[in-house]
Amino acid sequence: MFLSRGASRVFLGILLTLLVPLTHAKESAEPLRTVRLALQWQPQSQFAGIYMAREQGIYRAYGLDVVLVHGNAERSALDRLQAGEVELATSVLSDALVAATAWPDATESESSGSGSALAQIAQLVQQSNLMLVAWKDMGVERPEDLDGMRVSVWPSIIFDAFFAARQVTPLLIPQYASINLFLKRGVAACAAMEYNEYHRILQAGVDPGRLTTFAMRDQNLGFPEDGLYATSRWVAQHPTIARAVREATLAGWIYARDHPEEAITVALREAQRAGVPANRPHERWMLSHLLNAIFVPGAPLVRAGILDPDAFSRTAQALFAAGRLTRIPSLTAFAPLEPP
Amino acid sequence: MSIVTSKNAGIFIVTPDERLDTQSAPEADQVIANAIAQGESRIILVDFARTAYLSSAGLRVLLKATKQLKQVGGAFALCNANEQILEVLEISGFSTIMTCYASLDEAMQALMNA
Amino acid sequence: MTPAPELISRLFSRHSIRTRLLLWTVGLSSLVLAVVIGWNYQAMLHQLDADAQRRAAFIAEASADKIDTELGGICGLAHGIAYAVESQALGIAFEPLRTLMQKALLAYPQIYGIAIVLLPALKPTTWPDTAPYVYRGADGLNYANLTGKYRNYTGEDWFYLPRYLDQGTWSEPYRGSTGVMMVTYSAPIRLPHEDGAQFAGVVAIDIELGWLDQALAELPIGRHGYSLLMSHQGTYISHPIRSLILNESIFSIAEARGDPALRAIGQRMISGKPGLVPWENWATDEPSWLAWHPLETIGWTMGTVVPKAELYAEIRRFTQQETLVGLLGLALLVAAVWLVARSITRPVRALNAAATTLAAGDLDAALPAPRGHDEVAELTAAFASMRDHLRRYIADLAVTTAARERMNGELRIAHDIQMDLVPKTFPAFPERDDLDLFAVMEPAREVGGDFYDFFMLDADRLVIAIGDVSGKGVPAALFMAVTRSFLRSAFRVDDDPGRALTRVNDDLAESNEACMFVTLFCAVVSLSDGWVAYANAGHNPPLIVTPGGHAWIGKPFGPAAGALSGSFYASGGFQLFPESMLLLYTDGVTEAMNPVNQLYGNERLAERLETYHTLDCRDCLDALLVDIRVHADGTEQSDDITMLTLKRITPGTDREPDLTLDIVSRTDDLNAALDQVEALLEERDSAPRLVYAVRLVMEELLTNTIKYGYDDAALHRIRVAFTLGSPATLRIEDDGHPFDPTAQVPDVALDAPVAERPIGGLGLNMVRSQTASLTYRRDAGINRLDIVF
Repeated sequence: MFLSRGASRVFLGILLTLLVPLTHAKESAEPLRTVRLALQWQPQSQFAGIYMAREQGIYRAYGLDVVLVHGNAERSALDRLQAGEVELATSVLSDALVAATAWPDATESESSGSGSALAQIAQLVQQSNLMLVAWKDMGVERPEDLDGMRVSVWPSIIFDAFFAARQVTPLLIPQYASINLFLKRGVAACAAMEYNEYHRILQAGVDPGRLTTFAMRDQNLGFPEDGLYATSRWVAQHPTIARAVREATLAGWIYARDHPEEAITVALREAQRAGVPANRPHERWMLSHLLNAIFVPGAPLVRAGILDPDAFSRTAQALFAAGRLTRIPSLTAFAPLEPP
Repeated sequence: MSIVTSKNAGIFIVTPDERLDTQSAPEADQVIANAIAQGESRIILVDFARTAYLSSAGLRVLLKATKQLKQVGGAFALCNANEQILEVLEISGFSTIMTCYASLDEAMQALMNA
Repeated sequence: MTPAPELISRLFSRHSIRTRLLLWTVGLSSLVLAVVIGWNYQAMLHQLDADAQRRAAFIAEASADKIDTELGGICGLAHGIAYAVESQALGIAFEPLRTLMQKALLAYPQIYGIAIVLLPALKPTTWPDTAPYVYRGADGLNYANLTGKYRNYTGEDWFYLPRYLDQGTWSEPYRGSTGVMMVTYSAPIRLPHEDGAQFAGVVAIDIELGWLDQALAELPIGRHGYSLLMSHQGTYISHPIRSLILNESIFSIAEARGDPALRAIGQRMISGKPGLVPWENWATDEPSWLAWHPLETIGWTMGTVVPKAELYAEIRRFTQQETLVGLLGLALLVAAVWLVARSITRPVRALNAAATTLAAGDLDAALPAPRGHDEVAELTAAFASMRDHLRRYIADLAVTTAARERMNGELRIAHDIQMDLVPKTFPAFPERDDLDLFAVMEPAREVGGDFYDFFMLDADRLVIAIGDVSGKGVPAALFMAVTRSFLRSAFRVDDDPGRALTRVNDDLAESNEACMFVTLFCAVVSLSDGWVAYANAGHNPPLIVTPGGHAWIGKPFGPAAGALSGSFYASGGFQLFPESMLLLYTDGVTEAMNPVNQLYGNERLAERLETYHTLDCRDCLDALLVDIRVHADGTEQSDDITMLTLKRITPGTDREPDLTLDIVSRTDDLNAALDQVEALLEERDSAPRLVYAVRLVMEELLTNTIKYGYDDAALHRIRVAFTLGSPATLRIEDDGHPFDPTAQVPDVALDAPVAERPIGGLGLNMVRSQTASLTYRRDAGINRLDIVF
């Protein structure tokens, strides 16, 4: 990340000099193309790069008019994508992989063997933020201690794999949006994204010393998370737009990385607009963790937005092994856009 | 002769030489005695104007003259005595029996008035 | 460095009693006052802190009560409905249930809505909806099926939490669809089951919290104070800064500020225990107190922020009043102390003034009249007594002093007499060069009665005498004077010392009723030949020192004079050679004491004199006195110290005459000789008086010799030796009849009338008048006359 900060600017500069004349030409030639983008969750810094791409006119520069649709507990972004309410959606890789092979309206070629109903436009979050947080004073020091304990988790093969690997059988309780059950000590452990729930627990006055955390990436279960998706059909029909979305979104994230406080302010404004409680320290925490996951320290900047084939493979294999995938789509079918 | 005598206004004036001592005393004695004896005068004045030295022989002359003149009712006086002579007169007690005037004029004046 | 206590005592002792009294009382009182006020201040601070806590606690409790009142019943309602549903095991008909819900809403105006939400699987078949919800609308009660609104309500906290916590649960506050802050209480509905109670659903009651802000605003927390409410997670539910509400928790703010202390406070606040911490008002930066108290029903925390200034204002007001009263008291105390101090110090000052006057010698100074019976009055009385004693003492002293003065006067008189009697002019005979004489007398403090005397009996003979009268003081001095007179007159009559003493003794004894006596030594010294005739009446034998040794002049020796009439004193004689020294002394010399009571002694005297005798007389006596003082070594002199020394000096013996003439016994030769001498004298510029005197003496004596010295008519030789000098001397030697011009005292009646005066004898008289001394000796048929001018 440190190596790449200066380089990233250069990259952005090159990007803009290359693309802006082109888009200008387009803009003057034809009106902005409106695309709808469903986000996984309520407004927060998780989407700061996307907010900034829109705020800074980057999408516009790419001839795009991106309409953001925030998700909630009732309907996921992929649900909206499947329903055709939006052209684009964000999703974690695992969910997207499941959807890519499970959706019925895949083309015949896609439904066969290596086909994919979903097409990834960009892999944003390269690193896993998923973790289990446990009360130390309830006797949880090691993963083995969770055996027989009440643990709330989101439905995820990652946790299943984790418990299987550790040969523990907790009493699993489904976890939804809030962590209040955990805070009210209704469970010994709960699922958490390091950039969100974990910090919310800290913001409820719980010191890290009282907590035991198991980060999945430390358990060899770290899979890429947020990505940008569309149906394979849409991507096939609008490859240029898809590319523009990818470039503009990445440019927005780079901007957010270079102007974090501005990005947080925008995120807070979005939250306020949506009536979602939010505070700056939390958004700052979230953004910094996400930036670290998107622009992985030590990794080349050009890898940003690109799905690592190994990570794809590991994720797909894990899902398949867990029975969540009946087949594994090919990387080219799943991520059809050529690397930038 | 070394003793000079003169007479002025009835007063016999004897002026001894430089010394009136053993050597000159007989002469002075003679002069005065003669003067008294010859009735020259009953007033005799010894003027020491020239005299610097007086010894007991001289004193004796003066004492004799005083005594003689006293007997005849005359007068005897001295004048012009120098310091040593005055002291001799004083020591011998003669200053109480004979008068010594400072100058001849003073003596003459006093004797004439007497 | 000065130790502090000493410094304080010095500081205070420098001031007057009144000042010290004031300083101490006022200082200590001020200290006590300051301590009391300070202690009160602290105590009140604590009290007010406790009050603030109590107030905060009270407010929190009151609020809790209020909320409990508001919510507690609702909890009961929720559980009641739940029990109702449970009791019929979901067999309850839908419509009565809905009516129940509507009635509850009507009964509890604070309730926004009630929902009875079952797990979808457990929906009674008679129920049209799984999750009936009755809520308030703008126009009365509305109904909705939450299944439609929330597809997945099982994940909502209001359902989820009671389900898994298995108890009634308050949700975190949230903003309802109306924008009003709400909170939901959910009671679980449990159905009996073979595995125990089984969760079936919840009775959820939404409560609007709009009234909370109003209620909190009405709390009595002062003008600058405010209250706040936070959830169990530290999230602000109520706060004057409205943007914080639901968005921020105390922890998020602590994080934003990087303030771990604030986070710690937050943790304490949500811990369920009341507390109080110093606080800084976020809006005004005023130092404040933050007190909090848990709302036990709902698990929230009620906080109140009360500015310290508001607390302190009260304390300050009270402290100011207290200080004012204290200062007033202090002023009264100062006045009182001042008055008391004055009542003490005024007489003391008056006493002090009187004492100063007394000290200045005014014993008639008025003392302040003692008032009362306090210590000052006693002191005054004591002072008066002292003054009286002092007065008496001084009167006594005056008498004593007068007596002493008189005594001293007598002593002085005696001393004066003594000192006047003895000749003190030295050289005693300046015109003579044939003797050296010196005498000293150092009287003791009280007059001892010593005396000495010397006088020329004639041109050649010197009488010296020394004596010591018995007794002291004026009688002794007078006796001494009498003795001296007798001695002098005795020698006028008879030149033999023995006979003189005999006469003196008889004269003294004649009228000596006091029986005084005097030891007396007297001697007649013939200066020309050194023969000394002497007599001694009980006096210390004189000492004579010659180059060959010393000798005491012991015998003859008679009794002290004046004691007994008719005593006989013999004369003795000895030769005093020019190199010898004769010392007369009194017993004050030989009996001079040193600190160990040793006498100076005869031996030491003789020994010292042998050493000193070559000096001249004055130096010799000075040396002896020094030696006596050395011996005394500070011991007070008890008796007079009197010494007289005599040395003969033979004049001309050591000089050749300037002119020696051999005159033939003729008057002519005489005149030539006289001219020769006179020429010599004038040649040497001698004084006219000396010229005159030499001529006169030679003329008179030689004339006398020539006239009367020879029986025959032959010519004789007369030798005349004249020595110029100071004094000039003349020796005349002739072989005529023995003739001693010094013995022939013609005693010419110089003041006799002229007629009675003999003519002869005048020359010798004149010779004597013109010379200092004449010394005659007849030696081997030669008359030798030494003349000193």
